[in-house]
Amino acid sequence: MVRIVGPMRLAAVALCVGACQQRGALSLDSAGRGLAAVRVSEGPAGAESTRFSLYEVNDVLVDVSWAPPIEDAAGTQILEIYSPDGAVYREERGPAGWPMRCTLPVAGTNISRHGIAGRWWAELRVEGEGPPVAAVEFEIAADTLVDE
Amino acid sequence: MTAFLLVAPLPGALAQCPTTATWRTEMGGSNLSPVGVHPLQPRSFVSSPTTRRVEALDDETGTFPAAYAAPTLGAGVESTPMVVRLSNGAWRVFVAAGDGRVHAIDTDNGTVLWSRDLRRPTCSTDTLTAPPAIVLRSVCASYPACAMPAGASGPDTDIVLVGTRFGCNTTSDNRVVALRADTGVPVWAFNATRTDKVDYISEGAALDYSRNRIYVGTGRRVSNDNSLFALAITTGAKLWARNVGRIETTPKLSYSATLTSRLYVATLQGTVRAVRPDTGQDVWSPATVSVGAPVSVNLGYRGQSTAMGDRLFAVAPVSGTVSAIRDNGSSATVLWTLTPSAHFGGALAKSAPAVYESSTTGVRALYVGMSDGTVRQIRPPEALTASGVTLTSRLVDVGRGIVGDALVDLSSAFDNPRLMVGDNAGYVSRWCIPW
Repeated sequence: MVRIVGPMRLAAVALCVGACQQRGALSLDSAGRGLAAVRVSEGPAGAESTRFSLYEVNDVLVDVSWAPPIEDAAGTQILEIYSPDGAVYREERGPAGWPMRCTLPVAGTNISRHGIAGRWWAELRVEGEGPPVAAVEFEIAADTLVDE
Repeated sequence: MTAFLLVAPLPGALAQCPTTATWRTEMGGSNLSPVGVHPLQPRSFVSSPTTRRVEALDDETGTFPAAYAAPTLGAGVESTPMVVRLSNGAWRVFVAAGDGRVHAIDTDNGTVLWSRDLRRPTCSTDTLTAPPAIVLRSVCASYPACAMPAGASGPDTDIVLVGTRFGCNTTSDNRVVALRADTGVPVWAFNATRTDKVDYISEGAALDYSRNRIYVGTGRRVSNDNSLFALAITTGAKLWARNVGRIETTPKLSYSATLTSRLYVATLQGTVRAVRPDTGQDVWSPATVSVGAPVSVNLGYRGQSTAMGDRLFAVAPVSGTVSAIRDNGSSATVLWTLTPSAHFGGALAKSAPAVYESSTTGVRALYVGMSDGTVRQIRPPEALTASGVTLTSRLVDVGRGIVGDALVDLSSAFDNPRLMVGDNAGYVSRWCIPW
């Protein structure tokens, strides 16, 4: 597993996000796929957000979408979710060009038990085809609990 | 969550430990929960929320046994695989997985012998994150008050207890389920009819054979709900329940020779309290001690010696501190707190403390996984002040990521204790201790 030191990885993610936005909503890449996007929200049907409470949120949903939708997929897409220390914490695979969801459970998991708060990020790439095609950053915040 | 094992001590002095790991094995995914071990089992078992596999490792070499084909489950596994030798002599690994199922796995070859889906029909995202607790008929038979469930008939039938972490935003419908260890058939379920309000259960139950009960903590996100439950082993009936704050660690039963029996509970609010196991009433006055910033607290408790019988150790993983608490009987005192700035060079303590205690040499030590890829050894843990401890560091994760819950394994021999620990970068390593 390849890991990049945190600040360098964040810079790479920002570059990827910027580059993807400049491609245009309806452009196709050389493999015939559309523009990919990665978004995060609170499960099960919460609004899109980039900040979540370490102690309150049940699940963070990371969704992949392609515009336009692709019917004849070629290749494998890989969604990797990175924890603040730069480790690949979750990975989801599927046919390239298709919608995909990865659920990141938070409350009651190793994330809350080990206090893994901070800047997380998710990257989508197509296997064997170089840099990520979409990425998003989000925060899991260790909000102060009210003492009782 | 911590776990530690005892075997009969052997004579001999402790050998000097090298500063490098005995072995270090790449597992391919995050490994923050303790490794699953048993004193009579030559393999360790490792699960991961990333890879979805339950791997076996040879204890001595850290290699993958050729005859074991690691099963891939429907989702990642957050908790320790529980390695058990059942009352009928069979070896099993029980895993509670993110796919909402409990799996029973053959330790020899990795075959999944049965899987029981505990998800509700209405919610496909229901999961399990707490490790199973196994009630052994052979142990229960040693305690007059203990009685196995009627549905677990047969001379060798054990039961597997699992708490749920239901999805779909429920904060009240979670359950504790008892399954037959041989078939996975449900025997009883607490709160299946939703008569109580039970939030997610993220750690295993504490077993109390002497009182025929288990103790379960919940994450209790609704402030007026109960968060600590005592349930009968025989039927799952609720014996008592209290609201003591939000719980994400296993309650710990005391084993001190000098203190009356009590149950220690740590909360997300950063408090530690002791309650009576029979009634749930508070033992201390004031009822709680605070270990700093309101965050998760883990307990590592060792009560076998008079030097440590009254001590608890707590880690607060967001503020990154380690604290020692002394149980005075009817009150408690925080003896010392080690902080990132003053003691750890800015690194945060992230994982449950593991306690080592040798009955042959008198050596005692505490081990804590950190945010900078290291494990810190704290000696002696029974020190009365922070200035009385010596800190030693070992780099476990060369990428300097988060290190998980360490396990002190004494199963090889008392003169060859070892520390086993995983990290978020995807490795498990074994170390000679103490340093």
